[in-house]
Amino acid sequence: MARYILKRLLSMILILIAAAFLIFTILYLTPGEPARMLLGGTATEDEVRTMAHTLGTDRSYMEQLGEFMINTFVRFKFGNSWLYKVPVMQEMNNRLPHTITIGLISMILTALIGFGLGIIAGTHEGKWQDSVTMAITMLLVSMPNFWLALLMIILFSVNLGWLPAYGIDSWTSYIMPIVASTLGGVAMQARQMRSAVLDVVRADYVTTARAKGQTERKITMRHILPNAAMPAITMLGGHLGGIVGGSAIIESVFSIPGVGLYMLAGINARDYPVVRTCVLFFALVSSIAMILTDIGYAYLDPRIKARYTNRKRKEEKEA
Amino acid sequence: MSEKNQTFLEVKDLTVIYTANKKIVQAVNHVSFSLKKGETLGLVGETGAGKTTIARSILRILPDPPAKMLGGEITMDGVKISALSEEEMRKIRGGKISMIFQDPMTALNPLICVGDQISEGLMLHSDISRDEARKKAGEMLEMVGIPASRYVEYPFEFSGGMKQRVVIAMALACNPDLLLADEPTTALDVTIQAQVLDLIADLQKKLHTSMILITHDLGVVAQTCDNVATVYAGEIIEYGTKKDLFLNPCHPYTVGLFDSLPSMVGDEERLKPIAGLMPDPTDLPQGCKFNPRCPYATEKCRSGEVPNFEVSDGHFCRCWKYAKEAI
Repeated sequence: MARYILKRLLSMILILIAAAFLIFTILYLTPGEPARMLLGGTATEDEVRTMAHTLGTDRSYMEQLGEFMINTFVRFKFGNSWLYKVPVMQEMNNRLPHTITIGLISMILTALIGFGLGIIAGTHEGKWQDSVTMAITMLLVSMPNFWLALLMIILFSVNLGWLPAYGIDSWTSYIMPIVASTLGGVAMQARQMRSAVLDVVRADYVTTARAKGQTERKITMRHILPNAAMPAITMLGGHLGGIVGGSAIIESVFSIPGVGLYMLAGINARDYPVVRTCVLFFALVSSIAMILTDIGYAYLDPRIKARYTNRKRKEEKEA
Repeated sequence: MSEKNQTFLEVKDLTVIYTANKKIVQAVNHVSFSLKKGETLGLVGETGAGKTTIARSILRILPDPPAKMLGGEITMDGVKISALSEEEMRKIRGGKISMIFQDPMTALNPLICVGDQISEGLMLHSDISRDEARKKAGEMLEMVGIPASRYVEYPFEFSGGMKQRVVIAMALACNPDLLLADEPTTALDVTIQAQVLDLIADLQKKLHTSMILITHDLGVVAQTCDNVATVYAGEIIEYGTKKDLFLNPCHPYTVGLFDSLPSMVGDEERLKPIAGLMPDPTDLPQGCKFNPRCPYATEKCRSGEVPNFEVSDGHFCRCWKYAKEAI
């Protein structure tokens, strides 16, 4: 198992290198010169040329790419923001906690509520619990999160005055962003879980468990849930990537100084070091989510676990 | 001996329907039979005849909806189990009555190791600790010929025959009084089939268990059963001892079943299959359910219920052909 995780971590580094290469190339090919964008319309040709020289954007593609890759993966240096002249990493350190707090809590809530609702709906197929859950989740799935966020601001901040509408002052500031980025995912997760449960409820081994005299509660917890969780976990992994990647939207609606908003600002100002670092951060989070998904699989399903341990056994035999 | 001859299980007038798309499927129609302690009853018939539904309604594990038990009384050991509450019934399931399922490939939970699946039932029905249950489950595995050391292995690490043996170990773990074996050998190849049947017969003798064996394989019936009931379109159309049925099959359908088996004697070139198909269970024919396929059908067969005629002592047949013998 440890060997498997190690292998996955190595492949994650390859993915990050590929992501770095892609984002660098895409930004390089983007029309418009960063130096000119940074200086504004009134700058003279000379000023632009000097600026491009300081930024290093007047060098060839290969030179720039090489320097970027070495700085990122060998020296772990992410450079200074072109616009604000402060180190990108310093800014990231201030912003990461906000994005990660929202992302993680939202993720945990999505998993718990989504799984729970899905199980309730699936085990009560056709009854009122099922219809109510499905109606609510249908509504939530069809609501874009930014729109939901705006509605919440109108209700809770403008009309009721209970929660702050923007920024991060205290823990109450986190409530609306978390809810906005959770509800859609909860709905998707619940629907996915429900259909997985419906598949499993009819499985023979559930009848076997019932024939053993097992209680309905334990049948659900021991036999239905773990088997139904497999497809739902796949989705959950992709979902974490989605929450963090989608943080740009939620953070702009609530003006939260997080990584997503930082990236948006970077894109608008052609502040390439900022954009690159943010993209790499999102790639890192997504890869970690995928690894966690795979480990979760192996933990739940002995068939998958065996594939790795068997391979290990075989390798040991050969050695 | 007197205890042995007492009726142990009695099923009276069992009727089960399924509702699907507002159509009513008459799966089991007024089925009655009884079983003595230690005896084996074979239920034979085509796929879809309602054999499995009969077994599942004894254990009351039919999915409701779509299945519904409309009527009937099931008495076991003097207890009317068809009237028990769900909670009381739960204690009987897996304890006094247990079931061997048809398909060993899907009857085991793929995510739980086989040993734990056996001890799960043990812990529910006897007041023993987890360790004791584990030990007992290991013994059960040994009993069906699987080393106890394989307790921690998962279903995917077993072959089909071994999985079926695990299913059998699971069903027998709590020393049930009644075993419902639903085609225990259908999913296995012939060599394993014989092993599994021997195993069940051995264990049955050892534990003195009564058994209802569901099969469509007459060879299996010949090997294991005391009495046989032929099931057709949800009805028992012929009932008798194994000898009665094999030597003197009476109902045209039972005769047809035997005719469709290859015979070791004689040199017939072709088998004689029963013409036609099972009737649509949402729209059963009037009168005898077999009349559209029966070569001897008369006007009488097409209307009204056919009574159960006693052909000889203890040998019953639902066919007008035997009417005069009964009168």
